[in-house]
Amino acid sequence: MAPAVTFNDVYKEYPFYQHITAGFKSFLFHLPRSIASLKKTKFIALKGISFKVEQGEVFGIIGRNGSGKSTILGLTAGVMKPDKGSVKTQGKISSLLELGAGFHPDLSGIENIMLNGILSGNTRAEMMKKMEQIIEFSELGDFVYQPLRTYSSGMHARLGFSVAVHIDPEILLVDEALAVGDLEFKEKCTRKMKEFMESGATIIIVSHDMPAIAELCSRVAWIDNGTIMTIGEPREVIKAYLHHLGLGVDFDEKEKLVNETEAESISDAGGMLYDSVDREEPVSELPDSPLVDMHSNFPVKPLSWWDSPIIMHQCETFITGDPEISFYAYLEKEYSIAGLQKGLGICNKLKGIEHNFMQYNTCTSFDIIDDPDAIADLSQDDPKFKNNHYDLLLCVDLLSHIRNLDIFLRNAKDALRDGGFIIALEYIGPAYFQWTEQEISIADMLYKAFNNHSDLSANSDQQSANISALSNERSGETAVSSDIVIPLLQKLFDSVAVKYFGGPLYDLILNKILRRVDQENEKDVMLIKTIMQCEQILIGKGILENHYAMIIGKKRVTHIE
Amino acid sequence: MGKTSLEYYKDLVVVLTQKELKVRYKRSFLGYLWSIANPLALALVFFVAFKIFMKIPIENYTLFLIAGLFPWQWFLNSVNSSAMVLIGNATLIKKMHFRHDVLIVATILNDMLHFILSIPVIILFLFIYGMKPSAVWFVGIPVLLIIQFIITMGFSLAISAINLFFRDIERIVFIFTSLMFYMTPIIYSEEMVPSEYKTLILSNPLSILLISWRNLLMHGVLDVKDSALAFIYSVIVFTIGYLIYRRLKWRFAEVL
Repeated sequence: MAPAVTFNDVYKEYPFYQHITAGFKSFLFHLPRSIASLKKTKFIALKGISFKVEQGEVFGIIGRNGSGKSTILGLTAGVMKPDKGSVKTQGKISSLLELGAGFHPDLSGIENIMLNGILSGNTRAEMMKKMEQIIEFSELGDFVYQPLRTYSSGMHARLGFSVAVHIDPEILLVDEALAVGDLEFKEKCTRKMKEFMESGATIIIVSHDMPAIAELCSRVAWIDNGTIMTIGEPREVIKAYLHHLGLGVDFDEKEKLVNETEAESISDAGGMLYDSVDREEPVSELPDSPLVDMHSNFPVKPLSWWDSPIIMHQCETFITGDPEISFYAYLEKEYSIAGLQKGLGICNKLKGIEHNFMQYNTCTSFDIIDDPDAIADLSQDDPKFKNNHYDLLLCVDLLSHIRNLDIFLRNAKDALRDGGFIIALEYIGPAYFQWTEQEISIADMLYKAFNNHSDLSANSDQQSANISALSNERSGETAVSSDIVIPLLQKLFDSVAVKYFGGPLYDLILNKILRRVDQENEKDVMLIKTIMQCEQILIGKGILENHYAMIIGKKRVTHIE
Repeated sequence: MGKTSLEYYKDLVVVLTQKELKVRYKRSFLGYLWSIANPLALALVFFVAFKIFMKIPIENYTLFLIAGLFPWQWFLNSVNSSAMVLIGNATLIKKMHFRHDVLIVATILNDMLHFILSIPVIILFLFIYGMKPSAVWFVGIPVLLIIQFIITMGFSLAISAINLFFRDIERIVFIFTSLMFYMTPIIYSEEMVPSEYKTLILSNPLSILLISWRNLLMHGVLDVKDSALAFIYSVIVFTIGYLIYRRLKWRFAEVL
């Protein structure tokens, strides 16, 4: 079978067209210079890339902004032509290069479905047949008769995704599309993508959403600066990429890193621990200032409740008690957690938060365990990490997935050096919790308040119905019971501190509206603050049972066994 | 059902033309009446200026004007909007793989449709002046529609493509079409042009076409020699326009 997509030594460069589009006049008046600059100033997006995507593969592309990922998709979709080399594709392509691409705001949903379908290469008859399915999947209801400009961004996303997956593509191109839309629909999309994979379609995904990439893809390519750094098993490539980001090495270092990554993936065939301490990265390579702008450019999605600057700031404020002090500075000030050597990050899914710890000089390197099997192994009697050489153990969203907490915590203690720390960022509450009526009604109220305050046009009736749907979705999920975990920790560790910084309401609301929050809009920011402050009060009064907590334990320096 | 089948292209053109139509009158109450109002208003102005004030020696002058202004309006609208057609559909071009010239075809078809819908107005004026539509129309109108479509396509392809790189073309087109209007025998007849300027006027690729339209609509006459000449002009313009367009089209997704 021929590969679905073949890139053969593809070069792509963009001349800087601004010189011309700035106007005929300026172009004419500076003609010699204009032409010279046209020849010289170009941006090389791809520098000779070759790879194949076999039919039925789910292929992920990761890399920093501007590394050439979108150019690859554009070339695959056929909207651009390579300057050198060749791009071959086999089969009908449907592209989700951008949600809402190929839509017109003044046409209704139905008209847009038709327009988009035709532009993707279907006849009208084919589209008429699929129309009903598409409308049903999009869950837009009567909104399909309304012009698109009345849609919320979530509805937009649903329509776009719905059309793209229903036109029976043999190759589906997805660019960051899954980042939009609410939780429910995201899951529906993921399910649909899996259906696709099973039906043998080829999918190419470009995303910064590392957990999604790790979950969906069979192979991942990491692109940097127009070249392929590595292609291979998703988790390995993502880890290499994340380490590269966290360490901020220059280009020569990068190549070294890649070579080492390859070497290690061979030596570490078990794939359980990704050991990075032996790499001996010089400490001076770390960013000097802890004030690196991690909010705006940090491309890794750390945690769902931590990934918005506003929320992050609020969480920090509630933990630290002072808006001026960062989380990491607080750890240093209160618990002297700083300047540590080696950390171990354990999380249920790849979160990437370790990189913040590295960026802020809390730890110089991190090992990561995020494989479900490896995590299950942690509550065995003899896990691999029982080496007694970590300074910091970071658990993120993990403890509820551990079967035997007692053994796990003992193992954790053994893995730590004397005076080492354990930090857990966890959802704490009764196991198998249910939202209370009261919690849902408060959430509903706040949610409506948000919708009225902001200028976002949306159907609030529909959304308040969604609130209860979302809350149902959450219920039945496991959480760590604070009654169990805290006494256990106190038994094993010195100075256990617990800080609550948010609860179910803001989890509920923020998961739903996060994407629509305008970081620049003061009203939006105020409202988030208000929600979280309300919650703090409610937690303080003991009304809310479920909350996020940061738990810190310190291993005794001298202990007798 | 492939992307290249005739049925697919037909559907593509139909859907895009429908889209243009819907978008154009998205929030307008009188809709297509506006496309008649404009040439009618112009006709009124010219009638007052040239017939009443300047006593131009042309019989049935209102009809004379309308028979030229309506086809001209089609040409003008298409060429003017072609400058923005690719820019206005930037999201489509950047993200979807389809033949972008279909967008231009749709724009021109859309304006052509408006022109066809304005023919009853011409018939009305024919009756007012005691004349009748002729059976020659059944052959003549389709022939001239095709010729004008091809020539308009040639201009539009070139303008739409160049405008992506030199946005000033939009203004230049505006001036160019205004000049062209007076260089074309629409408000005057070709007989009134002094013989030394006649070649100049007739070298304008639109002149023969518009003279043919007027002869057809007013007198029910389709001159084969004129039509052939207009056709040759249109093929030349189209070829040049298409070559320019083809040269530039691969850069569209990058400059938009």
